[in-house]
Amino acid sequence: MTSTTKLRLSVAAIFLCIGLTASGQSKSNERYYKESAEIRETVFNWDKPEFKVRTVPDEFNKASKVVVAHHTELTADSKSKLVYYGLGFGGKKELSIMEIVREMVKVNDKVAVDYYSELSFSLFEKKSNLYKKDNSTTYVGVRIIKPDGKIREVNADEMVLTKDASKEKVAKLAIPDLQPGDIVDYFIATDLLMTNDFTTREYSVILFDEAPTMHHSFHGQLGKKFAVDYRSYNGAPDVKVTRNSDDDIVIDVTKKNMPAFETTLWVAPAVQLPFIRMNISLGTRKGRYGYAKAGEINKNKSADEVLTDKARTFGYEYYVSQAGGGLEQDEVVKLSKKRAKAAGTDFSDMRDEERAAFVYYNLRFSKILNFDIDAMERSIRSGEFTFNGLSSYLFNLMRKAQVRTGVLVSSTRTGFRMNEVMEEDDLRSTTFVGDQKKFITIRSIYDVPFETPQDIEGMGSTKTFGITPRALKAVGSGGDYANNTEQSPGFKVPMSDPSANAHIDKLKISLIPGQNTVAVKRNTTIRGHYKRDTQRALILYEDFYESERKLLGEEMSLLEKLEDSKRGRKYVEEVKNAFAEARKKQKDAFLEEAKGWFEQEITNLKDYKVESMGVRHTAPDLVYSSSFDMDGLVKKAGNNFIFEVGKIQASPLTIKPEQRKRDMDIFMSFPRSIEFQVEVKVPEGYTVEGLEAINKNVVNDAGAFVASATLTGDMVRIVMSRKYNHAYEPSANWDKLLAFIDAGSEWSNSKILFRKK
Amino acid sequence: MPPKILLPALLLLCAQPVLFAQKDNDNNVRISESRREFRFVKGNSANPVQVQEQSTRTYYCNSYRTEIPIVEFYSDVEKIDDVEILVDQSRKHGVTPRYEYYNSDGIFYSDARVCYFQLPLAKQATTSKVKFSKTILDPHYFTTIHFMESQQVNDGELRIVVPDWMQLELKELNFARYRITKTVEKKGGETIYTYRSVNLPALKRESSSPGISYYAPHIMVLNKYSETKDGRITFFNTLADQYKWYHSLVSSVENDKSQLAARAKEITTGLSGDEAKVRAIYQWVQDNIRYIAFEDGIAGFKPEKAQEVMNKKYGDCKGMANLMTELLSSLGIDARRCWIGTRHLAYDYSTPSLIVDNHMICVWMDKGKKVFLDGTEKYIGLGEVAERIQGRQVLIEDGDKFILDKVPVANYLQNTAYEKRTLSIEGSSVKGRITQNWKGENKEMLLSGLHAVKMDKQETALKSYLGDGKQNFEISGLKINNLLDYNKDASVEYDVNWKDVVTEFGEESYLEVDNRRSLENFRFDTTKRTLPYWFYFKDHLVFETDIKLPAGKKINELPGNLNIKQPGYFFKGEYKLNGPTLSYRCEIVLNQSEIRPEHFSQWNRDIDQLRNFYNQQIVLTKVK
Repeated sequence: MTSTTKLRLSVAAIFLCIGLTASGQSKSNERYYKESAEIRETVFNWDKPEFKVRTVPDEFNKASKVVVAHHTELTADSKSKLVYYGLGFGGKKELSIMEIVREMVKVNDKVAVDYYSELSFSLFEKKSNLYKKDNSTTYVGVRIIKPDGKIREVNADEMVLTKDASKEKVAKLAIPDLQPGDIVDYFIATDLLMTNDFTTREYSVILFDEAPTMHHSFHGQLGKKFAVDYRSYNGAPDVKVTRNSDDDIVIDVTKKNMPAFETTLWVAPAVQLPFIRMNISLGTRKGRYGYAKAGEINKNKSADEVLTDKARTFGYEYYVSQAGGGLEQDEVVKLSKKRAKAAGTDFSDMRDEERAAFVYYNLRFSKILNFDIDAMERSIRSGEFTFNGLSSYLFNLMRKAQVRTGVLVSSTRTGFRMNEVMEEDDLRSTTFVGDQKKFITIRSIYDVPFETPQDIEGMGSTKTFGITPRALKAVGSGGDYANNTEQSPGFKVPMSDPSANAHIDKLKISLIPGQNTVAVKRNTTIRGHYKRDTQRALILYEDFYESERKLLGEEMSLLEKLEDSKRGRKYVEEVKNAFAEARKKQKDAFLEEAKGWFEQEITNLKDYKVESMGVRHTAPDLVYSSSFDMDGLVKKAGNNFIFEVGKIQASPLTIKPEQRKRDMDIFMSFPRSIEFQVEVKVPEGYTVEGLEAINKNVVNDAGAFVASATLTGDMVRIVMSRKYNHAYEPSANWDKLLAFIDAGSEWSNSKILFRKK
Repeated sequence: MPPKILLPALLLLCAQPVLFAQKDNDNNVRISESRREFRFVKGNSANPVQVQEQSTRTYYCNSYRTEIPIVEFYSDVEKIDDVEILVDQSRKHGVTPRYEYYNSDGIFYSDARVCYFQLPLAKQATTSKVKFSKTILDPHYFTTIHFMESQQVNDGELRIVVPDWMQLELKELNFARYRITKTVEKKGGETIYTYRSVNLPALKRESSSPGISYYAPHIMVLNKYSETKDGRITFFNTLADQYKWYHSLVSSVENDKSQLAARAKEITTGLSGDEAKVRAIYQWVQDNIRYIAFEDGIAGFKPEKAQEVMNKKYGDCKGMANLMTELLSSLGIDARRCWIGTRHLAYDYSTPSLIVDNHMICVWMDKGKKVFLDGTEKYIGLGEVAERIQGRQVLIEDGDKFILDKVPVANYLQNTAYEKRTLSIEGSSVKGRITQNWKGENKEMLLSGLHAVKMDKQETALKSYLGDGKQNFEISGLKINNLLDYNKDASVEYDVNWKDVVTEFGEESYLEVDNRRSLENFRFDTTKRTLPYWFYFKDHLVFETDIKLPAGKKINELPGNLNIKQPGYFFKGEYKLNGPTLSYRCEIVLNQSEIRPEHFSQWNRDIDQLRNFYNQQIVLTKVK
């Protein structure tokens, strides 16, 4: 089995402290320096006119930096060898790949000078075993071109090693004499030598940059045993692929005069910005089972092929769950049946969704929330971990529990379009159950059955995977595991609405005339995709465990269970201590959450409590409460005082002047709403004024900002809500978004007056 | 593409932690016993006197099993010879120490390395033990021994074994608040100093606090000389010895006088008078030399050649000080290199040691007056001195001798930030012109921030800064009077349309004048903070506003004034009416850059008063 190596050929990141890629130096220093000098001589003398340019157009003079030229040169070759492995002779493929990325950048200000003033790179890495000795060597070259045309070459051999182990060396080079107005011309060349490596290497030619780019190009020359898949995205130029007289594959891409692009608010690069992806690998003779065929060139590879790869993985995982694996899932099903019986429920009579949820909760309790004394801190911190959704695992678990199930395969909302995917990782697998095709996932311990993951909401072009009847009868090893998978047309994933992803704060505020601090009783409900971070911050492992334990009918608490076991008994005291420590920190977590949400000084926090953890489909909302004193809302005005109610929403999103003009469509995370319900009692001896100015009502297709204030008796009730109706808006709706975003921003200045009678 | 394997049994291995919060093991793990010994021994010809260090720390698990990070530094002159680890008395623990270069912020490369590993505490009431054997190859680098650790130390013993052939002085610092006792024993040609400590608390670190040398108990080891049959080796017996060593290092730097003279002449072309030339050279170094530090072995003490720094356009403090000295000297101006310990260090040169300084600057000897030039301060003017070196003792080069002096202390007026607004009320908006000036370190802070922003974004960033990021504070007509010449005040002026700031309630209008509200939230959490707070610098903020009242409106009553005067600071605020013009003035002075814990409560009360003052609204009523 192989894995995919991703290599992004955007060297913009190189000047940050990076490990560009595996690089190595298995040669003596002397030889390395000689080769380094030879490569510098070659690269800096490339016959490429774009690297001879010394001036940039006037319109770029105000840019922090200008990429004058950027070129990637990729050369890959392979040869077969007969070798003795100890038990006999065998063949091996030796690969040699040279990647050179050269960039020439005019630096116009101190920010750019600082950025290019240090070059960090992985100099050496060796990965060898009995059968192969893979290594790679990285060479760098840097020169500074002064405004008068004088060129100063940096002595790259003056690098210092910041890691100097036998198998890995990391180096840094300080770039001298670099000043605003100079051009820095540098390259990083990586020479990789590998054996029997059929890994797919992904190259992305990124055709957008925060700096204006005058010339961006890629040239690849691959030996005839290699294969390439490629695709241009979002208006990127076509890739020119030809063969030379030696039958080598020759790849060329050129793009000139790219204006600066700066990532702005709510952009999905995969569907909005131009780039080219190429997957290059050493092919096999027949190109089966997911390996590329030698010499194959695929432009715009069909998504069906990628789906077949995905199906192969799915089929393989099914095979593993049947043959030699899957014991864990069998155990969970057995446990679920036992617990159902103990609760007086017939497991087999449960409807699909009911059974799915029941098995899911048993899995979560017994396999993820389970307490392990030998990894106690890990158990207590289990809320901090994320999982990849575990679709195959859940599919096989549900199947074993005889729940009607399948896996939906789709792209993601801000990922590559379904018909533009190039590899398995571009696709998302999500398990669904029952007639209603509701989703179940494990991305964290807080996932709730039947919630749709936000990244696949609204996806229409989908497929479903199941297991073929033949494989259900008997699954064997060998052959193409893709044959185990039954592919069917998928279904459209529903989109959530703003009320499903909501943050609702109910605040009862008491004012004391003459004091700047107000007393607040807070009750908060968080729904849907908004929940996760707050759950992580506020929910204690012990509480989660105990709540689930009771719901699943386990009689003994965790501590009682430990007391009850001969081994566990010894540890009860320290488990109690660890739980007590976590509980002690919960107050700080509540305090920090409140400070972060209101952006005001919060003191005297008390009565904090998680009312509902929001981890069950029957009670999916996170609800918590607390009381505290808050500063910053009250101002003295002679004998009267002003209550700055607009500040209750902290710092609402404001759109910066440079963001107000927009041509790009808008990709947000999910439809959502925020609501504040505020009750303020009018203090005795005062009247309230200015309520009518609180009212605001901006409602359109894209969303809304609505605020209202009423007085009933001596109680002022203010309700404010901000709503984004959709996760996606066409650029034509930008003004509609601006309308209610601006209204919310203006409402920040809203005040009411309490006037002394 | 080939399938990937995801075995169900790997369920938990797929999990990735989202965050690695630093564990607060303050009370869970303590060092029940610490035994450390430093022994002076005879070495080899290259390193004739060495110090062998043996340390054994026993970690005790109070409450629940955990892991703690163990970190030990070493370098080219301080070797780790051996590490032994016992977990619950067993050597079968699977812990492997890792050895790596230590990356320190601001240092491009140094010889500092780190040995680190996670030490398991197997279960409650068990111990884990770590023993390090180290050798310090040169007593010059054996400067301090600290007592406090990341965990509380219940029973600590520190032995310093000094043979008769070695002369040193041990200076105890910050012992008063801790239970540390000392005994001295003469035995078999050795003097053994034994320090015992009981229940030392864990070392605390708090933001913006003094360096640990101010509060953590430790010993300065002042190595004087050794006297063996091979002769006498003098370390830093006196400050003259320390200077001699420093001077020998700077004297051995091969500065290319002619190259430097040519550049100095070029920089100062057309200028007459020393001050103009010094100013030009200083700003050239500030503008052109980036801070990149190499602290590899002797490079930590010896400046890079001046022409190398000049040509490479980068260097550390030593490189910049040496370059400025050489450039100025080539013009016949009396400039010297100076060694100095920044305020982060509690020491001065009365205790000669490599630990007492950490910085190098240049001084211009201006007819008896010393003008200090720090090339690492990028946006400060000639004659302005950063807080971090003010009042610090400075060792000034003077041929074979030295001059010991102090950098003068500037008062808060060096750093005045002044804002003047002339405004009028138009409906719910306030409009007018604003001028802002920044001096000294306020200027430096502004310009550092501004120059960290890309050129084409600087105006937007500046406007956002001036308007506190508030959308209703619309700035136009921005005129930059000076943001380039650090020898003048930074200064800008602009028009403002401050929207929705006047609120109507019935026949009254309410107005809040001060939206800067400097320091309003600067309170200390007295339940948590125990160390003094150090501001970056002494500060002086003056905010003045004149607002012309609209016709038909008057103010019946002005808010009360504010007048807080404490030894380290004062806050003064007042409103005045001059005919139809409301004048507001708020002045904040921090004439000391430190607030001590015993003053936190008073400070908090004063900040509350300041905030109350800010919170007062002006009430405009109709003229009847």
